[in-house]
Amino acid sequence: MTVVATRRSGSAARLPIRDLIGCLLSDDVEGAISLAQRVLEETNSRTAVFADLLHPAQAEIGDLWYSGRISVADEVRVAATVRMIVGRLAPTPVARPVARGSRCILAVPRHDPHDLGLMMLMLAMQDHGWSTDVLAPVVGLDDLVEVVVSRRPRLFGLSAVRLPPLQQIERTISAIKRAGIPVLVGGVGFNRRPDLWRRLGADGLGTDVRVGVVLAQRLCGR
Amino acid sequence: MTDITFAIGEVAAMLGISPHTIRAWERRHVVVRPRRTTTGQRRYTSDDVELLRQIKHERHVHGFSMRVATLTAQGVVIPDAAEAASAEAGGFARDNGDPLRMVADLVPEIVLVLDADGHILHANTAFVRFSDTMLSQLRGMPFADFVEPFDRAKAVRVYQAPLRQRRDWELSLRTPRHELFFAFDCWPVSSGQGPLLVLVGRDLTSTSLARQIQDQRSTGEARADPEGGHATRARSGAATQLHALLDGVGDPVRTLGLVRRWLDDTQDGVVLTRADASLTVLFANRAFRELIPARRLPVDGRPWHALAADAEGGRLATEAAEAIRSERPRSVPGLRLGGADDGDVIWDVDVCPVTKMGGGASHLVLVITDVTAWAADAHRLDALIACALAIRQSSEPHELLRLAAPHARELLPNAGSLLAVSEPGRGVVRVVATSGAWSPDGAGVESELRLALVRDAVRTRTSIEVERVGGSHGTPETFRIVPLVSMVPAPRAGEALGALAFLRLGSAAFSPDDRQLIDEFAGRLGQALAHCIDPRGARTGSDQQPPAFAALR
Repeated sequence: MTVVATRRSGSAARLPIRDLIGCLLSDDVEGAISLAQRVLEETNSRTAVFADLLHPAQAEIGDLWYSGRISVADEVRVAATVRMIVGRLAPTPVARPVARGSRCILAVPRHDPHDLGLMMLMLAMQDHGWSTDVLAPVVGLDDLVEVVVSRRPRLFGLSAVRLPPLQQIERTISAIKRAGIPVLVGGVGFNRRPDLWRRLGADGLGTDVRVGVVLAQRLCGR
Repeated sequence: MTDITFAIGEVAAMLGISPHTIRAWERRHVVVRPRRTTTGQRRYTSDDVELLRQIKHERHVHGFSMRVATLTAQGVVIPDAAEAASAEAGGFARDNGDPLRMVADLVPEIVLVLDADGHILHANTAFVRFSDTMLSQLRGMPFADFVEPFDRAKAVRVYQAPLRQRRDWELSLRTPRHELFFAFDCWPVSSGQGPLLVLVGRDLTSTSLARQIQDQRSTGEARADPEGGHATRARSGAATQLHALLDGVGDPVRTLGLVRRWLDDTQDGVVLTRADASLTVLFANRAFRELIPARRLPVDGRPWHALAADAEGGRLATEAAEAIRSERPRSVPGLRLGGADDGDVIWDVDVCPVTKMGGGASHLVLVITDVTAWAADAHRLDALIACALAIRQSSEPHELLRLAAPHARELLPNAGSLLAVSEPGRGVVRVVATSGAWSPDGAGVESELRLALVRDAVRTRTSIEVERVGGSHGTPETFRIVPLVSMVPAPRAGEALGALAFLRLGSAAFSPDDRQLIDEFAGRLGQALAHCIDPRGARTGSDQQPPAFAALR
């Protein structure tokens, strides 16, 4: 177990992000769940817990791994804990959901096991009234187009950490957009290269769950 | 593809913060500049949203102040020695990348790397701050765009082929918010991208945060406090700047530590205290340490009263408590210290609460200006202010002179005064009142000489200032004799109505402030005297003998 001190005491953080990082890295699962539940009670929004607590904590832990201060095992263990927390949070439907029948398809490229972000987005979209179909990582990009176009969703979302060949992504996005379906991309793979989504022809980049939800509503004309 | 833009409500929903907060960030910290529709509505691009999101992330995750969070989100590295130390100790810190880049970002000079066409390839933090432009946007911009138009030809010569080394190449740089004068050292270097030019510019106008603070302070309104007569400032720019820097920050001590270099350059004392009853000091800049007696050092961790004893029954503590309660800045002008070794020291203190996220004051910032010298000057103005009403209300020349004489005596406590009126056309000057060294000590040669000087001043309507090495008692002496004239409706061509003279013995000559005070008093008195003599103010020639003037004689 690796114990990493929080960066500095007395932070201005309104949300207990560093406390959560401490719990996650010290394997204090109950403490982490309790923190997330507390924030959920305070904000009454699962989207806020995802965007303001879990995502920043995971991003920080990702940076720690990148800088060699924690091991990949720690990072994987933390991801598993976060997944468990995400699953335990109760739905918080919004007061003004999208129109009934609004459906989106969310997907992760093949060979990319990082679907936690997609899971958060899916739950947040559901809280906002969306009906969501998730295409598991087993689906290849070439197969995606046919499935998406045949189901006629109002939005297609692609989340990726490990990016497939860019030409392949560009082809996929282009084909889906030709069918009149807006495409939203997200995930660390896109976030680390902020201009990539434009180059690939996507309609927007959901840098976090909350941005993704608002963008989805905007792209679908609400 | 054309990017979609967002209304402020959408941006607020995306970030989870209120539109009010976004507008405040824009207004106070110029973090983004959204475009406006024809109806004035803000429209934010995706890049704007991402920058705001990053700022929020830095604030919430790392506890940075707005300023630091903005710079971090913009990609400008903020070196942090404390953070590096914490990394050594097992804490986690972000890797800031290239050490040389970090060094360039540490120095106060601006550092630029230009290509052979004069385009900016790299700029350090100092230049990013100066230009108020994100580093990513700076890249590729022509350096000459930042140069004053009249200096551009000179700027172009810097990167004209062949590139060569130059020293102290002076250029004025300008941005919409700043205009500074730099001396550049230029070094050509070779790289894989071809020949490059490194510019290192020293700010000859010495503009830094400290300078800005000083500039703002100097433009602040200075006025005389009618109660205490002490010079005070309506509002200090320093306190405002620090308030903006610390508002909502989690660890103000650390944030002030980041800008200690600038704070140590200021002449104002800057102190951070806990928001407790004893105002425990957590941080103090160099100016404050120099303001207090050396035996009271060190200051950290000590209560305020142990460093600066308040002689006014805890007025500062009262104002501090009010600042904490109301979460609004307070001003304590003319605070007199009462410690045994404080002497007659007077401070103006601005008290600014540092508020936590979610509200509540956690700390106080005290910005202290030593106004002891100003207060002394203000006391002297008291005499001027006190006499103003009296001499304006006088309608008779005799009464006016009777009222003016004691004020003349008190105007410069360490100088003797003489008030005289003239008898036009007869070359006679009659002394009305004297004090101090002007008092007659017999009909000696010295007295005659002094009166001759007064007559000359009246006759020529010219101020006379004479410094004599050996005076009546063998000591140096300085005279200043100012004629009493009326400037309204028009200067009279003949003699003055009288003269106001001051004499100071010893080597201390009249200071510019003394001269201003004498001239101001003489001007008011001359105006009032002319009004008493001719209330219509119609007299314009010396040959006209005003009826009221006869009564004066």
